[in-house]
Amino acid sequence: MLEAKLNIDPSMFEKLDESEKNDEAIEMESKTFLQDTWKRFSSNKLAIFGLIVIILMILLAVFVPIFSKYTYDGQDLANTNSLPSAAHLLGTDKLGRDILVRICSGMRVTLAIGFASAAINLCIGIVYGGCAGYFGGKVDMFMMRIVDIIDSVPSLLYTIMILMVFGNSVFSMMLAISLTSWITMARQVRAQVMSLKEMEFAMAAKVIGCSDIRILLKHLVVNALGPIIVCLTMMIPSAIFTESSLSFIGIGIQAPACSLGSLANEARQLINTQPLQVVWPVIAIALITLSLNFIGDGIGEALEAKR
Amino acid sequence: MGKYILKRLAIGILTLFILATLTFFLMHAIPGSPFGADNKNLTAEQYAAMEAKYNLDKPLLQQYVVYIGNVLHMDFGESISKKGELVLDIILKRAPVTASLGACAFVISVVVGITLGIVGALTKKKWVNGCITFLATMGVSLPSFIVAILLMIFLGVKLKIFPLLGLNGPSSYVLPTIALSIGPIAMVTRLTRSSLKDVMNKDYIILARSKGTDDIKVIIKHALRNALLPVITYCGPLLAGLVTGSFVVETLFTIPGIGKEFTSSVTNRDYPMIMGLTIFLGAIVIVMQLASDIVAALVDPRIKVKS
Repeated sequence: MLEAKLNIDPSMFEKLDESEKNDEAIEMESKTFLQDTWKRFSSNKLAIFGLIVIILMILLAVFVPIFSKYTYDGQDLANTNSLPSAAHLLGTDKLGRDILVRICSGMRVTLAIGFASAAINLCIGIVYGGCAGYFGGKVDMFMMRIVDIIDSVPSLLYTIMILMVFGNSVFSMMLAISLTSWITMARQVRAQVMSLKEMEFAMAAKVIGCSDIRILLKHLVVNALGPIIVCLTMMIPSAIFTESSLSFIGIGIQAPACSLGSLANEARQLINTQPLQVVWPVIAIALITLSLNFIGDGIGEALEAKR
Repeated sequence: MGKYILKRLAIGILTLFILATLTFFLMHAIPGSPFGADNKNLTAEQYAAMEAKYNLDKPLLQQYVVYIGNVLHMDFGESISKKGELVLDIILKRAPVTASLGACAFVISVVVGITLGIVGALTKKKWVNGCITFLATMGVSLPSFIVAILLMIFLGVKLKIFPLLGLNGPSSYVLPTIALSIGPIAMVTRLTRSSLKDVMNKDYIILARSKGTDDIKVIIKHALRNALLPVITYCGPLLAGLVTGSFVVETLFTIPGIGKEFTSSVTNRDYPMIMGLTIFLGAIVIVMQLASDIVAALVDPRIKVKS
């Protein structure tokens, strides 16, 4: 008999249980790059803490001045330098203005300057660094010499001079900060573009006749986005750092407009009698810069783990 | 080596020249005249005489040539807000104050920073490393005035241990020095720690260890020597940081140094003073950067090969 000769166990031909059907299938959902990065980012407790704080700060900055019954410049001379109370959660300043509303308005200005100047920075950095890295040779040499020269003088000196030329408005503050702090971004973009342009996909794009601008923006910069984002997230706190320091020494934002730095500057005159007033803006600045730094570190780690 | 120094020197001089040019044209691009504030008190002739005194009546290019010529002779003109005082005299009078404070902060940043860095790199205790990371993050991300104000409130206002303002006697140095050196300490700590960690895994350290050299000798003679190179190159930027840091710290503690002079001349629109100070500060930073690069090249034979 056939069965006896080959000695095959008939149990091998029995139908398997339904539950074992998908044993070899890949059960784990495949993740996109973004999901993967988010997973790594969200496992970083400090970064999540930073993200929550920043979102809270932005919400406070947007909504408190809208819904509060006080305005940032509304004075109440009968009720000056009051301590925190139910009517004024953080108290009032020397002109009886509500400190909570003032701090939230100041946060608006400070955050706006931080984000906007980082955005302008990004544009300048990508164009400048991209051109230097892509064209290479003499162009690169010349452009990077200029960067070296700008870089060898403290950028605060340039920022102050540009601020004097354009006046003390919020917009000129953004302009002054972004005009002087694009160096790091440009260097980063240049280094990335220089190494990426040697890769096959850049060559392929060139062979099918893409223009230089298209290759640079659509192929090279997109592939360098990781390091660019890391660099960008570090620009925001450093712009806020510069803004608040300048406003603090009275060179930046001027009254009646207020930023966190100028609020701290106003309040420090009363440091001996009303130390609490200066603590509020200082805590706000500290929370913002620290949280942004945590977020930046978190994004950096999440993106770099991939490499 | 000689060629390297010459090249760096040439770039330094070029940078200074460009800074002077930029300062000049930016200052002259500011709308309005420096005498604008008290314009009503000036008759037309007085106004013309004032303009002639500060060379403001001549064409811009001619002013520029005269200005550059004067700068080459170390002649920065006369201050506008302090009538009759030469800019150079004011700078020379103020510089020692800033220099003494800066020197204290420099020594403290380097000593404390390197110590913390070594501890951070070698410790096996998690909490020690955590504390150092925390301090380093704080120092890098918080603007110096935040720390300064908190110190002022606790040690100056509440406990009255240290004087709040001015610079009289050794105890008044404490708060400004801490405020000035927090940021640099954090940077030096980070640099030392990461480079020492790298170096400790190098083959020559393992060799030295396997020969039976005791740990302290390995760290001091073999590891630190190589690990401190990034710190030496950082000394240039560190100085730039102290210079710009002095703007904030001196204004906050009302210390009559270069930084205070700079911020008050910006608020007073004292153009000759601003131009003189910018060039002076720029020159110092450039010279120190050059010095730290040369020292690094002298200490590390590997740099010579590259240049």
